[in-house]
Amino acid sequence: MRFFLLCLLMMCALPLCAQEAYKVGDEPADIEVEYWLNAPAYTRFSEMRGEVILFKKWGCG
Amino acid sequence: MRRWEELNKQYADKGLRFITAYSQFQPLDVIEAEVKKMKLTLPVATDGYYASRFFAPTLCVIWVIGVDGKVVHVGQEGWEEAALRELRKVKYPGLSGAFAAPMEPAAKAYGEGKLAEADRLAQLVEDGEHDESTLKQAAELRLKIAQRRKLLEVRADTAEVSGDYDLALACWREIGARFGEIEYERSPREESGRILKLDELEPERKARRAFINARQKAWNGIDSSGKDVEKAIAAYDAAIKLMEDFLKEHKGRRPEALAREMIDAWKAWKEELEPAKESK
Repeated sequence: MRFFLLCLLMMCALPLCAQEAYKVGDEPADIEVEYWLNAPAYTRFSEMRGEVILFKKWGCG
Repeated sequence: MRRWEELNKQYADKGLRFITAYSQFQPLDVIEAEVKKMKLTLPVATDGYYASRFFAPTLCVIWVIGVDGKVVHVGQEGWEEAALRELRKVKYPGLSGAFAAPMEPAAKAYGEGKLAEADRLAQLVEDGEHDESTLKQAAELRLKIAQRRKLLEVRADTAEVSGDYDLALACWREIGARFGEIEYERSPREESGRILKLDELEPERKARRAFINARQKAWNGIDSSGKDVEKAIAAYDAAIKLMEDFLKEHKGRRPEALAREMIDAWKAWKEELEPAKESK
């Protein structure tokens, strides 16, 4: 299972656009995050249903 | 991010949630320094949500996910307006649909995050003389509150077993903040205190951090090696060395098995590249 996840991570990380990015109308799937900074208690989108979520991908250059 | 912190202060208790994902393969030190410099208090997923369809060819990209769990906006602009527009649909955060008048106080308490109070108010409704649909709403809300607590307890226990003590502590903090101390339930104060006194807390924290750090560095090298076979093989060698160094320093700690699996995977991928190198 973990090997599968590693492969999946590799597949997503290198050829990033092999799949279509989430667009308006899509329902993002829950995923497990292995390491958080400022860890939140609720970590899955499905647990935050009924609220509005701002999700940002960022980096520092 | 400053604007996000402002919005968090203004709207967190009104149903706006914030998640960020650091989307570059950099050592944890770099990410932590950046988070500290920005005084960021919001959650940061350090693995960039790579195993998801949140693709961002250029940074930063923001997705707004609406009350029904579906994306309502994507892009670098217009996200605040979209989020606030969506937020106007939220009457009681975390709840959908209309509530009968007797259930309004319980729903309001739930939306404000006062889950013990919401449960108490819903129980009063349940115990009173009301029509069937109101009683059903009360029962459903109480079930939802019980499930919420159970979810956090299970997550805290699972995180503790896997050595993710910070997530376990975050869950107990959340239980404490939302439910307080309830006589017949596990005490969030005692559970947090117990975890903080564990002998293995710091060694496991260090090992976990070192493992993620090594992995980030390894992926960074692999990612930047491009399509050149020799460079890729060298990057796998460097990645394997990083993990082996991790294993030497943190033997017997929880990430050990995962580190070994990564080494095996990188060795296998390196072997796949060897024939291409030889035929060059």
